[in-house]
Amino acid sequence: MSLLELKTKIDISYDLDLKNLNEINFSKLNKKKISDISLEYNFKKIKLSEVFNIQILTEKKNNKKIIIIGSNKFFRNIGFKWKENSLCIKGDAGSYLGHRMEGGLVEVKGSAENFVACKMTGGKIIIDETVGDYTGSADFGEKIGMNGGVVVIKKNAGNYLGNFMRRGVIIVGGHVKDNCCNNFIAGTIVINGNIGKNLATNMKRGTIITNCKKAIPHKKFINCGDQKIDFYNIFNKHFRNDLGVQSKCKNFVKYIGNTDVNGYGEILLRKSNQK
Amino acid sequence: MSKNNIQIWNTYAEAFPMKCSRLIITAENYRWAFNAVNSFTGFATSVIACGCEAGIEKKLKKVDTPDGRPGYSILIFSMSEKELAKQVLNRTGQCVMTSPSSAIFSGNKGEKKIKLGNSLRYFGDGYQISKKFGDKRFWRIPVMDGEFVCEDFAFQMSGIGGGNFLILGESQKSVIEACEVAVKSMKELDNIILPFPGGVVRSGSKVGSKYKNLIASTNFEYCPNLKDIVSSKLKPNIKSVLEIVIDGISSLDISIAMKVGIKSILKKKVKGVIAISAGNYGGKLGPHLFHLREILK
Repeated sequence: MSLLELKTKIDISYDLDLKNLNEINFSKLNKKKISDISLEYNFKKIKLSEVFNIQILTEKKNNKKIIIIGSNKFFRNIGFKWKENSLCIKGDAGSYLGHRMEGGLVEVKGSAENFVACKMTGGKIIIDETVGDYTGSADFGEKIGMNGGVVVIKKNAGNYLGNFMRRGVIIVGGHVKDNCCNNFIAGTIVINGNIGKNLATNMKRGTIITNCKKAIPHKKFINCGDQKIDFYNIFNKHFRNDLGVQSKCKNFVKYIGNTDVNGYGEILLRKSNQK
Repeated sequence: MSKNNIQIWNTYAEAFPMKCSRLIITAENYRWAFNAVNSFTGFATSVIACGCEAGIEKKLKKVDTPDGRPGYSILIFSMSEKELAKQVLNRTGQCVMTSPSSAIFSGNKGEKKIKLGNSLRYFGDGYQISKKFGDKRFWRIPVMDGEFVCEDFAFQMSGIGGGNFLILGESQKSVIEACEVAVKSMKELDNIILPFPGGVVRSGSKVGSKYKNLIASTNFEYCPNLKDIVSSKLKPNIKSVLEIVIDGISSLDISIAMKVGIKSILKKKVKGVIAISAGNYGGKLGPHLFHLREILK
């Protein structure tokens, strides 16, 4: 694996747009080419070498791993249209992390801001800390959000998680704020912690797996009783490293809705460790 | 050539290319997984009239199945892509989906897809749910005991059908005993199936018949009852012949299976077994030839 390290050499205190960083996916690791990648800092175009010290640690034919050191919440659009390769962020990430991401892996050792995985279609994002609002959601004015891939948030998520989400998996290790899964079209969301108000408003299809009984909008979802969901075995096996401590539970109370929109979405309430 | 007083005839088995697919069937426990598998692989002994040849490849541990439940791996062979797809879909719908707690998954990857859940999902009448993880899509179809989970597609791969050897003996009892010994050892192997009842066939066939509409008829050269009235390959002391037919993924798998089966008979020294032979059609049926004496070297 080729290893590229990008270490910040100036203090980033305005928005830094890293949209063009995905050009690394399409060429060999060439220091000059990487230096010339155009970025946008505080609404001005700059070269990548003006912000980062570039170091190619190893160079091999197969996949690349890019490490960004010293990032903060101003680093926008990290992993924009990312493909195949691995991107490791040693620090926080700004808004639009993994925006329109198509494949590969993005790991964030800190937190991320709003619109994580917005319009994502493939690949995997792992965030060690918290995320802001609109994770897996549609962009402003659009009606389809995350459309594939996997997002694993090890701690808490903000408002509007999975808004207009259509496909893919989001796993949240901690709590989620209000308006989670609004206009949910399809896909799977697992929430291990508590959930705020207005869960699954206008939910059409898809699956929410949770322990949080009090968050379920009982008037808008039909209680279908206790059910053993065999499918969860496959889900569990596929995501066993991401799911957290309660992964072995496969007995659920199933709720179907949202009845406001004749939806056939399902909320699976884990029978053990209910909150 | 003779080993332990059993002659190995200087002949070969003739096999032909087929299309095949591996499927994994799981259930709540091995008993119900077997019920589903047994039903799926029923009436699948020969492509002459069954449309396919199918059998259990191996029993799978929980850790080896996609859903972590007990299961079996099966192989299904057919002569054409179209027939294979038809048989897989029909048998899944009628034999696996109907079996309590069952689920079905593809057991191999390949370029050519065979519809599983992609067609069966319509049984859900709009209440079916699709889930996609990585490059695999699964369908959850509501049924009366919960959900029938199946993968979107199975995949076709190339296989070989018709590997075989014949066991010739002085009585039916001794030949059956020898077959049982061989089948037991061959069932331990991966990548092959023995599609006939108990792995053994007594009605070995030749291509064609004196009746116009029949594509296969009894292999009279090996029928003890006819040896005085036709050109027979049987000596006077041979009173019974049985055949073990092997379908496998590659010619290597079939030759290994033949070697293991024959060697187990030779090792066991089953009383009354006189010779081991093989069925062929003079090289006209298929390109894969398995020479007995070469295999046993």
